[in-house]
Amino acid sequence: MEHPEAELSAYLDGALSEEERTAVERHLKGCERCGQRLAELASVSAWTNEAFSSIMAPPDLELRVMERIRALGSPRQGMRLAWLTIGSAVVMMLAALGGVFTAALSVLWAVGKVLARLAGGLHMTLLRMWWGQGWGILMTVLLGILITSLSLALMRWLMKQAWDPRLSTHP
Amino acid sequence: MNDEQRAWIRAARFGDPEAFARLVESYKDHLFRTAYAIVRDRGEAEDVVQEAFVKAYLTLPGLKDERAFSAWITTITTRLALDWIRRRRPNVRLEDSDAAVQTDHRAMPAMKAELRIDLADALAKLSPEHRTVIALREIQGFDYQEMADILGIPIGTVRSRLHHARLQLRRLLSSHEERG
Repeated sequence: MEHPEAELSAYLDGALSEEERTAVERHLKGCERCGQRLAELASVSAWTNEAFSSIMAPPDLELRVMERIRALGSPRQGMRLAWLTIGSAVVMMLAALGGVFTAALSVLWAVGKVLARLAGGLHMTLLRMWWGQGWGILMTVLLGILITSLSLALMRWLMKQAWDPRLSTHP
Repeated sequence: MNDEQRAWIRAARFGDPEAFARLVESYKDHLFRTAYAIVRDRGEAEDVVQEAFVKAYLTLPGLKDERAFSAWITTITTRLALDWIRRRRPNVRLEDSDAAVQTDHRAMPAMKAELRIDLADALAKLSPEHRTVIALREIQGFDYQEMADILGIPIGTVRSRLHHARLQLRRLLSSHEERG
């Protein structure tokens, strides 16, 4: 067997499979060089652990962290604010899409009416167009008011959820 | 992790800052050592740990399993430390910052102090990736699978990276001994 150099660290950490471990142990029995290398790796591991165990965090680290944490408020409030942002973006996008959709529908309605009434004479076409456009505009305005009201109600609900005083850690 | 710590995590998740303060107290030294091993600068390690705790506090409601807290907060700290050294100015001298490292001198005889300085010099010569696996294994005591999860790399890469890091440290420490 070749020298199992690459496996020695994992052997030291007990991270080899049963088969690999047996092979390494069999090799170690007859190889002084690998035994020496294993002992060196074990020393490095022990030294590192020992040297770092004396390093301590600065005494005021906890204080500084907690000052920042207390200034932030509840983590749930933070999560709620994130949801508020996402919710607001979705509502605004829906409102914009609704507006574009109703405007496009009203134009298509008017164009369709013109094309359909071409054979019916100019006077009747204009009259019907006015009547049709009036309904189209009215429907657009009503739909716009509905979407805006729903958006505002949803925004208000999200704001209320985000700033729920029962979840705040501050008085 | 004991029941008391799990209770602190649950309370902190619902916005109890006192419970989170207990967690900070419990984990600060371990996380500071890990961050320090990676960034090699006391001030920067402190900043990294502060950021890690703040980020952990804000995202704590998303932690599903309380038993995973240790690996989870170490992942945050390790990734922040690695991001930090990718962003910071190059050539930060370890010697400049090492003198200021807060140590428990009562527990550190003279031999150990020498070893710490040699090791700090040797660590400074390793790549950030090699320092990170050394920190996760030797300081935090994570197993290979946990290290692979924390770093987002295959377990085989963890194995070879840690082996090469140890070999390099051994070589560097041997050259220190020869010079000494």
